[in-house]
Amino acid sequence: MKVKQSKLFSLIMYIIIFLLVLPLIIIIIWSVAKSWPWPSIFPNAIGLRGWKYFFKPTSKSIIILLHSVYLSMIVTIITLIITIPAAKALALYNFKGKKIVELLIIAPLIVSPVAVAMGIHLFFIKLGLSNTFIGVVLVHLVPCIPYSVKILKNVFEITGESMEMQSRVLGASKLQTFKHVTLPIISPGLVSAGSLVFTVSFSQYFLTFLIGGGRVVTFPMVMFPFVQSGDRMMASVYSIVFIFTTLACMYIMEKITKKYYKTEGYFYIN
Amino acid sequence: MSQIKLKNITKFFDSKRILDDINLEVKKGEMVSLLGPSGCGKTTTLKIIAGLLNPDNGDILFEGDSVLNIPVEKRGAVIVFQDYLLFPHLNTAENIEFGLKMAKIDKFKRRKRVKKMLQLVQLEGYENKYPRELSGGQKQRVALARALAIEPKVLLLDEPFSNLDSRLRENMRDFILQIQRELNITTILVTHDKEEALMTSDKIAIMLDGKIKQFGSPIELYKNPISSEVADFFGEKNYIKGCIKDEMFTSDIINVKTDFNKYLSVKAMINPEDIKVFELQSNTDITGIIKMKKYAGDRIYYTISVNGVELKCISEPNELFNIDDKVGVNINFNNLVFFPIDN
Repeated sequence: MKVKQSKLFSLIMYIIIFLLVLPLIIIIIWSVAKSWPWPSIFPNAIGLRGWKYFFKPTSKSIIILLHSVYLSMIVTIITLIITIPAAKALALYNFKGKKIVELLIIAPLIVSPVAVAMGIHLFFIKLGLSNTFIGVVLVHLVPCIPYSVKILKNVFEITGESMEMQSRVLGASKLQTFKHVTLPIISPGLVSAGSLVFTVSFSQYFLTFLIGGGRVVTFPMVMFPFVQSGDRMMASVYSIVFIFTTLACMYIMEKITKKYYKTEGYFYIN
Repeated sequence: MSQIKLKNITKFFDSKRILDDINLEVKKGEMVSLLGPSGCGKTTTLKIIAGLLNPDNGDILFEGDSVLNIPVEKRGAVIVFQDYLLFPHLNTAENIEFGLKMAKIDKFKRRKRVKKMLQLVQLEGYENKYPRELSGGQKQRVALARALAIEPKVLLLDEPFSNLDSRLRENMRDFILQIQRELNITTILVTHDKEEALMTSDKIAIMLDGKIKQFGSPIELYKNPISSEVADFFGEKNYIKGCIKDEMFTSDIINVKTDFNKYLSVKAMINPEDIKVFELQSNTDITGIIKMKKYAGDRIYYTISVNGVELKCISEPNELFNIDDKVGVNINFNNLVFFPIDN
C-alpha cells in the first residue's frame, strides 16, 4: 500500500516537474528551429542562425551579457551592504517611526517603480545621473532593496543578537564581531537575498532603458526587440542564455559563501 | 580590595525600573550567586557588569577603578550564557580559540592555550567536532573553556545548568565548582535554584523586583533571613502568628522564651526540618493529626494539624504514619526566627 502511494506521489511530482520544465524544453527546441509551423510536433527544419548570431563578435551579445552581469553584481553588492544594517535594525531594535520606515521600504513592492520612474528620471537629469552607469545602478536599487530587506529581516529575527553579544564579551570589537560572527551566521540568508536581488536587477528592462537612455545597454535590452518582433529563434537563444546566466551566478554566489564560511547552507537556530 | 563592586546601580527599560539601587561587592576568587525568580533583573545585572548594557545610574568598579567607560571587549568580564551560544560555524577548537584570535595572540600560543583548555574541561579529542555534534553537557564545557581561555577578570555564569537534565546538572555543578576553585577565578552565578546557590556559593545575593534583599553567606541567609520573602526562597516554611510580651512568645500552639522584643505582634518562622513527629506517648505536650503525606524516598513530607494550625514537616523515612493518625510533635526552638507582621 505504502509503495503504491509513494509511486503515485512520484508520478505527481514528475508531472509537476515536467510541466515546469516544458516551456524550457520548447525554447531549447525553438532556439535551433528554422521553421516550426503549427500542428507539427517537431520542427520541419533545423538551423543554427540564432546561436551563430549570438556568438558573432559584431552582435556584441557576449560583451553586453558580461557588462550586464557586472552591473547586476554591483547592484547586488550595494543592496546587501545597505540592507544588512537596515534589516538588523528593523528586526531587533525599536525606534520611533519604525512602522513608517518599514512601509517605505516595502513601498516599491506595492507601487511599481515604473510609476515613479518619470520623477526619478527628471531628478537624475538635474543631478547629471541620467544616461550613466551609476544612475542605472542607483535606480536598480529601488526594486531590489525591498526583497533583500524582507529576507534578511527574517534571518535576523531568527538569529537574534545573542551570538554577537557573546562575541563581544569574548573580546571582539564591533567590526570583528560583524566579520567573524554576524556574516557567517547570516550567510545562508545572504545567498538567498543575493540571488533574488541579482535576478531582479538582471531582468530590469524599463528602468534601465529610461535612466540609461540607451547608453547603458543591458542584456534584456538586446533581447527585448527579438521577443517583440516575434523572431522566436533569436528570442529563444537569448532566453536560454538569460536563464543559465542567472543560474550560474546563483551557483557561484553560493559556492563562494560556502567556501568562506564553511556553512552547510542551512540557518542556524539555537 | 574587592575585585568587583557595584555601586547604586539603577537601570530603566522604557521608564520601567528593572534594577533599583544595586550594591554588591565580590572579592577576588569568590563565587557569588544572584538568586531570584525570573524577571527580577539578575541577567540584566550580569549584562551591566559585562558592559553589554549601560546603567542609568551608579558605578561599576573593577579592582577599584571605574569601568563604565571601558567598552565590552576590553572589560574582561565574560558571560557564559544559558544556551551556551557556541558559534555554529566554528569547531570546538576554533570556538575556544575565538577570544584569543580576536585579541591577535600569535598562533603558537593560541594552540597551546586551546590544548590546555580542552584538557581542563576534559574534552581532548573533540577539537574538530562542530557544536551540532556535541551533547548539552559537552557544549556547556566548550562554552566554559572558551570563556576561560581569555583569562577573564570575572566569570559570569547565566543560569548555566538550567538546560541540563538533573543528573548531568549535578555533575556539571561539581565540575564548574572544582574548576572555579582550581583557577581561583572570581565568579558570579545567576540562578533561580536555591540548592545550586547554597551548594556552590561563598555568598548569595537574594534579588527580588530589581533589588538585592539580602547579601551574605549561605548559612547566614538560611539561618537568619531578614524577611519572610528571603526565607521563602529556601523552601516552604512554617509561620506561626503570635505576640511577644515579657520575653515570651505566645501563640495558639507554642509558648517560648525569647530575647527578641523589637515588635509586639510577630510571626515566628520554623523550618520544616526542625519539626519532628513521633508516636504519641502519654506525656507529650504538643499533639497533632497527620493531614497530608508525601513520600520522597529519603525523606517524608508531612502536613500536621496542631490546634487548627497546619505545620509542614520533613521527617526521617523510618517514621511512617498514615493520614489521620494522631502523633506527637516536637519542635526545635533554637532556630526560630521572628518577623514583624505586616499590616
